[in-house]
Amino acid sequence: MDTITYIYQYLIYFYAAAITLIYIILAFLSYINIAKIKAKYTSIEEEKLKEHPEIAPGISVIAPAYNEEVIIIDNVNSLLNLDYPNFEVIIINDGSKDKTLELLIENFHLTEIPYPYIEKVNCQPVKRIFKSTKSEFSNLIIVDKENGGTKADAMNAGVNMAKYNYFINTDVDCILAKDTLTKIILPVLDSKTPVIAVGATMRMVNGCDIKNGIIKRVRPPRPFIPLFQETEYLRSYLVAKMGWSYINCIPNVSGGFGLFHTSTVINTGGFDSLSHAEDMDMTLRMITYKRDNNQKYRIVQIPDSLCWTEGPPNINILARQRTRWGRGLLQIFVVHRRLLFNRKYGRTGLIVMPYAFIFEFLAPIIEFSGVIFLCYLLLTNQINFATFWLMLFFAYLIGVTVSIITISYDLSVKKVYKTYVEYLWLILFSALEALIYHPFIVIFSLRGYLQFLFRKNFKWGQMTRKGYSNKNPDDTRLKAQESL
Amino acid sequence: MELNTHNYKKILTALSLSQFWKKQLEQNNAKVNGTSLRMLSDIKEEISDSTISRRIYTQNGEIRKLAKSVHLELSNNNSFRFLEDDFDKDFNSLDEIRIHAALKEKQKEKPLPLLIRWVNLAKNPKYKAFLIKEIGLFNQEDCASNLLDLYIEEENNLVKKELISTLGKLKHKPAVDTFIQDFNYASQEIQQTIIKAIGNIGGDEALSFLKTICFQSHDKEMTIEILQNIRLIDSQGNIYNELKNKASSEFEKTAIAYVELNSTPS
Repeated sequence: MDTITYIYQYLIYFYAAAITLIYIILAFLSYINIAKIKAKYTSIEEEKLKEHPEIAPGISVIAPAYNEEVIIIDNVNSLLNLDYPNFEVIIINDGSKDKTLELLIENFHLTEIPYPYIEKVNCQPVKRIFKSTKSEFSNLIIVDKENGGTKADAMNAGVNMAKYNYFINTDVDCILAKDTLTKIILPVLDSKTPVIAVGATMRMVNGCDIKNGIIKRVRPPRPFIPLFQETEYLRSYLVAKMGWSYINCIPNVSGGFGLFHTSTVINTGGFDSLSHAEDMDMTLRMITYKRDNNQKYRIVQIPDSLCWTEGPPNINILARQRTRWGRGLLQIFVVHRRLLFNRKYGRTGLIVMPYAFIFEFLAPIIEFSGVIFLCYLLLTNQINFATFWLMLFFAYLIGVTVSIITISYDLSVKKVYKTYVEYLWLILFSALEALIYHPFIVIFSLRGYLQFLFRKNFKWGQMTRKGYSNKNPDDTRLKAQESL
Repeated sequence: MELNTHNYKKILTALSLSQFWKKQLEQNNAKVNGTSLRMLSDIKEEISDSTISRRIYTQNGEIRKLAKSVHLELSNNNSFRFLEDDFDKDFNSLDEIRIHAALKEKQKEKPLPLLIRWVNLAKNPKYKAFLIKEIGLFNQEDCASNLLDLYIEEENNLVKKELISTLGKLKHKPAVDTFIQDFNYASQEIQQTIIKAIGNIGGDEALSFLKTICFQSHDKEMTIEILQNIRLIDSQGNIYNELKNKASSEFEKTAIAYVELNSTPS
C-alpha cells in the first residue's frame, strides 16, 4: 500500500505541475494573440467593410428555435439589427409546440413561399419556408421543420438553406453584439490559409439590461451560479482558446456562437444529431476532413465579447447542463479516439486531443480519486498538515491568479462593465470558485460519464424562458426550468 | 450628416494633426505605426513618398501592406506603383478591401487607369482574380476584349472564374460563344459561373443555350440558376413558358414557382 501511496502522490504532483505549466504557457500565448489582434483589427477596418458592401463577403446567421415563444421576437429583431451590409437570418422552427411560429408570422408579416429545398446534409423533413412581405425584413427566412430532437438536426436544415460561404451557428436565446459580423469575418479575410471556423468570447446575459433584444448595459450576473460561470467562460475563451488559437490548436468552436465555413461543414456531412457535444464533434470532423485531404486550414479565436447567453440560474439546471457536457466529452473520446496521439492529425492528434483527454476528461476522475485518497490518508493518520495546507494554499492561489489574469485580459480587450467595482465583484467570486462552485462541476461531470457508460437519460433539454424585455435587471433572465 | 469640410480642414491645420501623425510614423514601433497609418488614412491628408517610404519596406507584413494601401489612397505621385509586383507577398482578402476602398477614393478625384495593365503583370492568381473583379466593379468596359483573350489562355480556375464573372458584369457579348464552347468541359463551379455570366449578358444565343441545358443538369442548384437566368433574359417569355409547361417533377415545378416569385421577366 505504501508503494501505491508513494506513486499516487507523485503522479498527482506531476499532474498538477503539468497543468499549471500548461496554463502559464496558454496565458502567455493568449497575451501575445490578444495584443496582435488588437493591433491588427480596428474600427477603421470594420468601417471599410461596412462602407463597401459590394466587396464584403455574405454571412448566413442560423438560429434554431424550439418552443421559444417568450423570447423569439426580441431575438429575431436583435439578429436583424446586426450592423453588417451583407447577411441573411435563417430561423429554424424545429417543430415548436407553442406559438413560436405564429408569433413570427404575425410580427414579421411572413408568407409561405415555394422553395426548391435541396438537402445537402441530413435532417428531419422541412415542411414550409416563409419570407416576409415587408422589405425591411427581406433578409429573414423562417424554416418550419419537423422536430429532430437536437440542435444539430435543426442546424443542418439551416446549413441546407444558407446561401453564403460562411454561416454563424447560434441559438435564439443568445444575444449578439451589433458589430458581431464585422468582427468575426475580419480574421477570415486576413488570412492566406483558408479559415474554416472562428470563435469569439461568450458571456452571461443574466444581469444585463436588455431592450428589444439589444443589450443596453452589461453587468456581471447577480445570481451566484451565472457569476461563477462568467469567470469560467472568460477563462476558457480568453486564456485557453486564445492561447490554443495562436498555435492553430483549437479543438472546439462553441455551439452557442461560432462562424463556420459552409462547404467544409457540408463536406463533413453536417452536424451529428447523435452527438451530445455537436460543437466539438463538428470542429474535430472539420479538422479530420482537412487533414485527410491534405488541405491547409486555420481555426481562429477572437477575444471580443460578441455573444451573450443565458447561464443556468440554479443548481438543478447547472447539473443538467454539466451532466450533458460530461456525456458529450466522453462521447467525443469514443467517437474520435483515432485522433488521440495520431501523428497524421498533426497538433490536434499530438497536442490538443491528449491535453483534452488528460487535463479535461480525466480531471474530474483524478479530483474525485484525490478526495477518496485524502480520506484514506486522514483515517490512517498519514497527513503532514503543515505541508498539506501549504500545498492546498499554493494550488488555490494558482487558480485565483489565472482568474485574475483572465479578468485583466478581459479589461484589456474592452471594458464592458461600467464600473471597476463590478470587476472586483467578479474577482471576489472567482476567489470562491474553487471552494463553492468547482466541486459541483466535478460531481456533475462524473455523473455525465456514468450516464454515457450506462446509456441513461440521453434526451436533450428544452428551456422555458421568461424573456428579456421590460424586466428588472436584477432578475435572472432565465427563469424556469430545463426539462428533460 | 454631411461633414463640414471647411471647418474640418481648419481644425486639422490648427491642431497640426497631420504633422503629428506623420511624425509618429517615423517611430520604430509597429503599434504606433499602425495607428498613425490608420489615422492618416482617416483624415485623408495627402502624404508624400518620403513620409511613408520607410514603412513600405518594413519587415512587418501588416504595417508594410497597410502603408502600401494608404500610399495608394493618399499619395498623388505614382500612387498606383504598388499594384505592380502582386501588391505584396502576403496579399490577402483584407488587402482587397483596403485596395478597393483606396481605388474608390481615387476614382472620386479622376477616372482610374485601366486595371488590365496590372492584371497582365500579376503572377499571384488570387491577386490577379482580385484585379479582374475590380475591373468589373469599376465597369472598365475597355478591358473586356483583353479579358476575353486572357480567358482563352488562362488555366487557373480561380482566375478563370473571375474572368467569366467580370465579362458577364461587363455584358461582353462576344464572350458568350466562347463560354458555350467551354461549358461541357468545365468544372461544376465554372459551369455555374458561366450560367450567371450568360444570364447577365443575355441575347438569343445565350437564351437558346440555357434552354438546351435546362432540365439536363444533374445539379439542382444549377437548374434553379438556369431557370432564373432564362426568366431574366427571355423578353418574349416564350421559352420560359415552354419550359414551365415541360416541368414534370415536383422539384422542377417548385423551382419555377420560386423563380417567378424572386425574379421579374425582362
